[in-house]
Amino acid sequence: MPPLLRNILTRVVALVPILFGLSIASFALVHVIPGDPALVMLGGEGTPQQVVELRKQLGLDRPLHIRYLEWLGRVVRGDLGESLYNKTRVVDELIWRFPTTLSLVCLALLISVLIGVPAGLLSAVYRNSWVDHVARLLTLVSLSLPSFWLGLMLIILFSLKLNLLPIVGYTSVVTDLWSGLRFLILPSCALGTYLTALLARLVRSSVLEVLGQDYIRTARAKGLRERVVLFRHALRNALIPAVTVMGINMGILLGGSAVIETLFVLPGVGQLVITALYNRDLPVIQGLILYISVLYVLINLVVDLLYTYLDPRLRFG
Amino acid sequence: MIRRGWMRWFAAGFLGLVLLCGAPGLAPAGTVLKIAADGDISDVDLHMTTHYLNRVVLLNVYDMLFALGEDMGPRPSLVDKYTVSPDGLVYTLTLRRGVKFHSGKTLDAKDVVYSLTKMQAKGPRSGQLKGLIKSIEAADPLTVKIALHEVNAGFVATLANPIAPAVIYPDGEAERQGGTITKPVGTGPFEFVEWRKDSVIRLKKFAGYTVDDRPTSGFTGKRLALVDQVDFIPIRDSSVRAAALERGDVDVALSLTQQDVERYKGKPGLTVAAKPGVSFADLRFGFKKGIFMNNPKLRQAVGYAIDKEEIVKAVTFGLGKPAPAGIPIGTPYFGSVHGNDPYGKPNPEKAKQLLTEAGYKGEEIILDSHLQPSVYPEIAVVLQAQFQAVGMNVRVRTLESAALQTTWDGGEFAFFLSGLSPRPDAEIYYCQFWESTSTSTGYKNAEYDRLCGAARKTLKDDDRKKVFTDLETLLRTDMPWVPLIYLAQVEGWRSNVQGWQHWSAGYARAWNVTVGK
Amino acid sequence: MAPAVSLTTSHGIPPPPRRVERWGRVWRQLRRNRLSLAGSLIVVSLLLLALAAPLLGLASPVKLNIGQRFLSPGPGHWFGTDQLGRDVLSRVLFGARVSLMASLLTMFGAALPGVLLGIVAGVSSARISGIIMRLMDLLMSFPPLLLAVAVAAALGTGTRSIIIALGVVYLPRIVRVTRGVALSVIAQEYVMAAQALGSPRWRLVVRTVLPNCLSVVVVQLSLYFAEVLLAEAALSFLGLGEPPPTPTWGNILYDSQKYIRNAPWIAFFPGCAIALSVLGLNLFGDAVRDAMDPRLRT
Repeated sequence: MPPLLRNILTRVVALVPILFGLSIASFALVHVIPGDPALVMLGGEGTPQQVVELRKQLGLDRPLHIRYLEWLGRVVRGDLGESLYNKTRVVDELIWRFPTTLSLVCLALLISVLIGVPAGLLSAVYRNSWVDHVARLLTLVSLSLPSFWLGLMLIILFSLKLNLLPIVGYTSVVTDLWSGLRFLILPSCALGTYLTALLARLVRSSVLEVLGQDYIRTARAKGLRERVVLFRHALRNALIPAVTVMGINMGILLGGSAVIETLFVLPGVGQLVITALYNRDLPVIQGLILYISVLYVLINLVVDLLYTYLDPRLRFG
Repeated sequence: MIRRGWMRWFAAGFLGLVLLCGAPGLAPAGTVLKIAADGDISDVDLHMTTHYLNRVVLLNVYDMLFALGEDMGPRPSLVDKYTVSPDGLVYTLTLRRGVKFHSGKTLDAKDVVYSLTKMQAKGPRSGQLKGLIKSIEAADPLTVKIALHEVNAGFVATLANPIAPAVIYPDGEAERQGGTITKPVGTGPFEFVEWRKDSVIRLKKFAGYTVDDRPTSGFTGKRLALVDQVDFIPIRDSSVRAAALERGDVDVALSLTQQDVERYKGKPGLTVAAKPGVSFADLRFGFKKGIFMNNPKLRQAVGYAIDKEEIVKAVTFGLGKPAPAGIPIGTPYFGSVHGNDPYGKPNPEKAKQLLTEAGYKGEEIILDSHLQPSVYPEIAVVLQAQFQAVGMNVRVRTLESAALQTTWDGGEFAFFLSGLSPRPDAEIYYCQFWESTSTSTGYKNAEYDRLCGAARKTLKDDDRKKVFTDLETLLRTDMPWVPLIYLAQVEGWRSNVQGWQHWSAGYARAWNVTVGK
Repeated sequence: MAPAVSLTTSHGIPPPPRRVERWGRVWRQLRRNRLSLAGSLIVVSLLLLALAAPLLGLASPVKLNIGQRFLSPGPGHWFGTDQLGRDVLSRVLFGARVSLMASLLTMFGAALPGVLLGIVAGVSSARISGIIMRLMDLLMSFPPLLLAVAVAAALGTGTRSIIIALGVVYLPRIVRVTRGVALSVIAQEYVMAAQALGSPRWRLVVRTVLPNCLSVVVVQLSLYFAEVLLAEAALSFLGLGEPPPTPTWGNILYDSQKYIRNAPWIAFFPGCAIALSVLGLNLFGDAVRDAMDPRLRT
């Protein structure tokens, strides 16, 4: 079979033992640490007898390995179980929240590409000029800002002081594109600033490295216009490492940027991670771990494919 | 795929209609009351959950046999009148006539039997109810007879307990809905429309509502749905909630903070009010291990070291109140003894003296505290400073919520900062966590147990008053726990909202409220 | 010519120059490059301020002063006061101690076992190496947040839990890097030659593998330091940090959320402090890396 397909299959197959290990580890972990979903549900209002009663009803008094095997059996059939806390199916919960996180991350990515790539390019082309220095300073500062702090400052400035952007009543972009976007602007800026800076640096250094290469000199010698040289040759090759890094970051972010989602009250996957952890909602936690790992591998796969597409040497090599 | 021509027209028309409806200002017909709550609900079957937001929203949809009155005492709601047999073991409840469920069915005794049996079978209170109730039967369509295992003066209050409340469902409702209640069907003035997760819980006026003509009090009495629709909007962050109120995105905002009172003072268009709530923070000692276990003098030292006024000032910005007793002010059974708090003013000298007498040598004592709501760590900090001032070496430990519950459940702590939400009977305040048979703290006091038993067995009000006075006195000498302060209950509403009743119990009552333009 | 601020990780490792020569180069590089100088200055002043905090005669960072709450920044309280009347400047400076210390301890906590494991994985048989690396893969895939909450639940919230959690998160990365270096070193000709000549294994490891690993790890750590500082702040921000009244940058930010409208300065200054430290550490780390990267020897 073609090497690409074999590569993909190998990756997917390698994922399985990791998922196994992760699910066992997280199952064990959540049990080892103090905290009981029944207790959390009762919220300290119950007597010890009520706690025991509730645990029995939730099926929490059965031995660990039995519960794990039962969970495993269901997962293989595609059933991730139900949340202990609010009886929704874990799959439904994930499906419902995923678009929010996805739109947040995509918007952040979009911002970073729209600002970061040109910034990096300009920085490289006008190397050591004031443009370059300003860009690099901004980049450095942006890399240092904690995203949740930036988010707080943005809220203060735009929502509270200037009253420009709304805070309440989050609407999913799926239901209403325009309103949904308004709620995503601030959080994606907070999230995207770091990405923008990262991308700008990457593009700058890659472009610089590429511009020093022989084939660029050849292209110029051939009489090609500077713009063609820049875009068709330099940028394209420079984007390769950028794609890798951005892909990895995106994978991480899609796992749920818990802090930003909590701050901006967005019902995304990240917020679910925190809520599930605090409630010791084991089925949800297990489901989330599966989701995050699978997503991560998928993204890596896509990135590699993109890489192959962009770098002709890999395509035909 | 839209293949046929007519479907295309239909789709276009539908889309147009949808867009039209989506356009601002045209959407709902009639008046809408938008209430911002501090989170989303988690379950619509109130028998199965103790999470308070579920009841804040859904007690507008469901009714109970008895419910909390304005003064936190139980009052008949779905019950018209009731009698208790002379031996105190059989309660005969006569239901109100003609009460309709949202499904159109009329309330009868079989629904009550079903609902109570359901609660006994599953849920956080199933054990409690099983232990209390021997049998429930429908004597006739409007009469329910409940027989208890033993005399319990707080039985009616238990039925009125809003925590995992005994709401009444139509007979067989859970089975009709496939085993779990997913769509609430109740008898309240509002009926459930939809729940869009983390977005809105929508209720609408129940046209067939049967009004109870008794005076309005708490959850009972004359409750009219004067708006067509009620939207509960979950907004977890309090500053965002306040901002939403300010901008008019919502009409009422629950659970605001004390700063908001300052901020919005005198601002036209809205009112942000605070009153000392019924909920109060308390400090509980651990009796399974630790330094307070066999040392009442040390516990008393703690009591004298605490400056409740300072905590009120620091943490509630003066909007709360010191809690003088184990039951809230204004509730039935709160007597003059309760009002006279010997620990009302701090006495650092006495505290230091007691420390020496107790043999305290400066060991580190860990104070466990909730992390959320954030008042608790703040109270902990202030307490720590006060303890430091009398020479007690206290370290605060905040555990993440679930771990903290486990610590509480295990009873392995020195002392523990927590709070008590409104409960319908004084017996529950004193005894739920402190009677040796039901406590996780390890507290064992024969006299305390005896008094708790008496509180349940004594049916006459005057006698009960005496029991609760005795309990308070015992509480203050043996000090298994120390009531600290009433937390402030802060809400805000816009001026176009008429009739909003700010209740210190913290529940949002959407009835008898109108929204002007 | 290479960019003054580089990003890619170092590639092949030729035989290491002697220790003295290397640090001398670092120093020269630092002096030459203005940005890295600025970075170093920031880092050093931060460390000094943090160390000296108790000696500066500041207001107490923990003593309550209800009468003085929510004062906006001005003379007497340059950063204002917080909800319990405590001086924010004082809290930020004392908070620096905890935050910086936490990050340093995390780094060392991850580096010590990390380097050891990495070297073992690098020089041992395929089987042992395989087991170690599989374990590391597992650890790396584990969501860091889950780990942090788990540790906080088991040990109580606080800096100790954050250090342990973050240490575990960074351990696999260090092991990976170290193993990579170890592998490339023992593949070098001079090492193979020495081995053929009968040099005992452990001595080879100590004299060739270890120094290389250390220098690479130091570079990695200088990069991670900033990340760890941010992570510590983020975890405290979620409520897992040091319980009151001890200030850390993260937990001051956590408390400040409630008062963001009345007293935004409580959030502003610790955030600036974090940003500044991260900036300085990034610059400094880049400079160290550039200096250590043999390709850039000019």
